[in-house]
Amino acid sequence: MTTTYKAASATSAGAGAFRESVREFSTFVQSERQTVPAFRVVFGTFLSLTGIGIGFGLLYVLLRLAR
Amino acid sequence: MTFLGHPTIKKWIAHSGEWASFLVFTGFGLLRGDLVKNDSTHMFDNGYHPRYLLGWVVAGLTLGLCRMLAGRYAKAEARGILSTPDYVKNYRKMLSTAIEDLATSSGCDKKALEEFEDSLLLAIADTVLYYRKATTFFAPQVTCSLMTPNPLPAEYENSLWLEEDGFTNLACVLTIEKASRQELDIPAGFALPVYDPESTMRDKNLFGAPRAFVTHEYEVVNFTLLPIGHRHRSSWPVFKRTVRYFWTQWRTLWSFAAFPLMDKGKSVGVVNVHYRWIRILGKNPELLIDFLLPFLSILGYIHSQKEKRGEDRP
Repeated sequence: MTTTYKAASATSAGAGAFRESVREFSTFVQSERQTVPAFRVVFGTFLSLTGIGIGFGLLYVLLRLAR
Repeated sequence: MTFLGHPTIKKWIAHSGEWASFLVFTGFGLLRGDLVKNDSTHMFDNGYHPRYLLGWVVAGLTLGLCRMLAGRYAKAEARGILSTPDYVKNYRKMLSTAIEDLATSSGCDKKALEEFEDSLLLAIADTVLYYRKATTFFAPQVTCSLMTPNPLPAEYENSLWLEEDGFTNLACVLTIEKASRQELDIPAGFALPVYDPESTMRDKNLFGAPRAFVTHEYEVVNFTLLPIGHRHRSSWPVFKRTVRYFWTQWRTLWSFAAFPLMDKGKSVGVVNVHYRWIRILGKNPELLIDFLLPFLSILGYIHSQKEKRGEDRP
């Protein structure tokens, strides 16, 4: 069983100028780009996989040389 | 700033170097550690070149360097997010208006103080949401709740969170007074025990809000489903029940931070910020906490002023 709590909503929140600036900030945060761009995530993943590839490649070469 | 000069890209390049050197260092050490050991035995012999040992050490040093650089670029990335002109402009406006309203708060009635509290909770939740939106691939809703100390309810003896024989040593319980949104999916009658700081059980306070309330220090739990390093002196059964509770809440709560609200050196409550992803305050929480502290300080003062005016609890 869950309960509901007294919520601080944008309509009831704040005193005076602060209430207005918090509302503006909320709008700014909502309008900001949703999340980290997908491209950056794909590129980051690509770089990580490249690192793993280079790591395994180097390890393979070193083990061959060490035979 | 060029594409490759961006801290995020630099961070990822450092991470890729970290992966590569980690694989070479651990892989070669585990598979051909005998050669490294042989080199270390004969390294001072005349005309002997300990190439395997040197290569292995270089891989280890590269791993350490890449780790350090990745951390440094992650910090630079966070600093960049928290210093964008639009954010700074909005934050500065919020802070200056909060200070203006604080200056006139002594003449405010309880309702106005209550609304001021609400706005501060929203400001804290939105500041964290702004930061996390810029650093994660998807950003779940951030919730900020205010927990306040209350007298013990009679039925609390059977509480899930209570240590054995802990009831007699309780100072108060922390209950949620309000939150930045309504649907928290938290059980009815949710209350966390706070043991008397003078009793023998003072070190057994549970991690999160109770410990923040007693120690006056913030606490960040980066992954609630595996809260490694947060048990401290809680007994094993209580810790196990707590982790089990977090597993039942996996749809809404993966990480949280608890900040004590202080007024004149005393704890008057705790602010919890949580959301459904790991690391609520990111990898470098100090940077974000610097931005939250002014609001937390104001909230502590406003809350105690409200209490002094004999606020009726809901």
